[in-house]
Amino acid sequence: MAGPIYRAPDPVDIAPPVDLDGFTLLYHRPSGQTHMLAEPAPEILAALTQGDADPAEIMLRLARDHGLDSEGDAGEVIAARLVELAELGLIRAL
Amino acid sequence: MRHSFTVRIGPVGFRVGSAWPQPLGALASLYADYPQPHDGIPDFTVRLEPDRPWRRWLRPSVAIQGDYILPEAAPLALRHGLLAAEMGMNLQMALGQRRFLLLHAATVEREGRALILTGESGAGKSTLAALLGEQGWRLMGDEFALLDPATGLVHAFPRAISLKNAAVDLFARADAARWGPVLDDTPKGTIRHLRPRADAIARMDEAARPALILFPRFGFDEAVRPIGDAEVFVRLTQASTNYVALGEPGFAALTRLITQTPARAIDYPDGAAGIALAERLWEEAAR
Repeated sequence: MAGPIYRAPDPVDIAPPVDLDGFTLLYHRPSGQTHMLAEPAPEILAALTQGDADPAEIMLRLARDHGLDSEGDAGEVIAARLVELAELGLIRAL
Repeated sequence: MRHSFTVRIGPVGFRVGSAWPQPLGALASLYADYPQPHDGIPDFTVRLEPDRPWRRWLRPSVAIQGDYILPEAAPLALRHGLLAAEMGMNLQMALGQRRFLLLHAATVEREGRALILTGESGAGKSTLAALLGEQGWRLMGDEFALLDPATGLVHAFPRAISLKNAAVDLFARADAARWGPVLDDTPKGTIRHLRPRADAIARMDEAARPALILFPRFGFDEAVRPIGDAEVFVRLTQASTNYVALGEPGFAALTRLITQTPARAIDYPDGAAGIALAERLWEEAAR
């Protein structure tokens, strides 16, 4: 699977995240926005902290770290979440 | 301004200026036992002015001005001048307060711990808090809870209680000296203000540790529902007028409040049932 390379947010841009019953709250310092993330968005952000990656590499990391099943439409779901996270300004497409 | 009145309510000092003496006379009587602003310096100014120059005399009509204004706010009749002053003070807080995370909520205190009642307008939180304030609780405020980002404590803002329509009758036993004038035919119906009990005023500088958050709904069969932390977060950001303005300290204060404080949604059919339910949940939370 080809696609853009994504980069994790700079750690200083994100306040310590807070988990609230299944959601992860992120405060993004540059924009002043609070984001309420549901699975698999927090896992994608964690996977990206291991280094820049394209969607295929992110899938591999999610499969390894979280047992994500790469069968079915998982690839499309992850690719869609990556686009959304980039639009929110939480990650960057290089 | 020809006339002015200053008062401190909890940590916030106000100056209310007016083109007419009547609204300030009513304020002075309602806030008779309140202190003056710290060092004599008010935090916010409200001005009650004629919306047109001739409207000081001819069908007098009060426009709410001040440090912060809502351009589209409709003027009120002079006989509702007290309401205009109260709305003006609320407006300064809602738009200008930066020291505290402001939650649209009523708060009562017992043994240094705070019960926070929040929810939509008309849900009965203010009436329920005021009823609790008449029997064994200290009323910290019926309109705004002031959450200090530095300490996580709630500060009191014990304004005069704004009672609407039938809620006025629930306080029939309150001392006559505590009541403001009856304001008929306001945009919110009949309103009458009630000064909080003396202990609420004398102890307005005592902050409290949040211990329970309730989302009450008046007029339904009695029910208690658990409410998830994520939903509490969303509802409290909606109940806050300055969450976005406060930035990261607001985020830290609100998430700390939610992760450390149990919350329940409650329905209650009448005041007595609401009081009993709040007392029961308070006891359970204290265990």
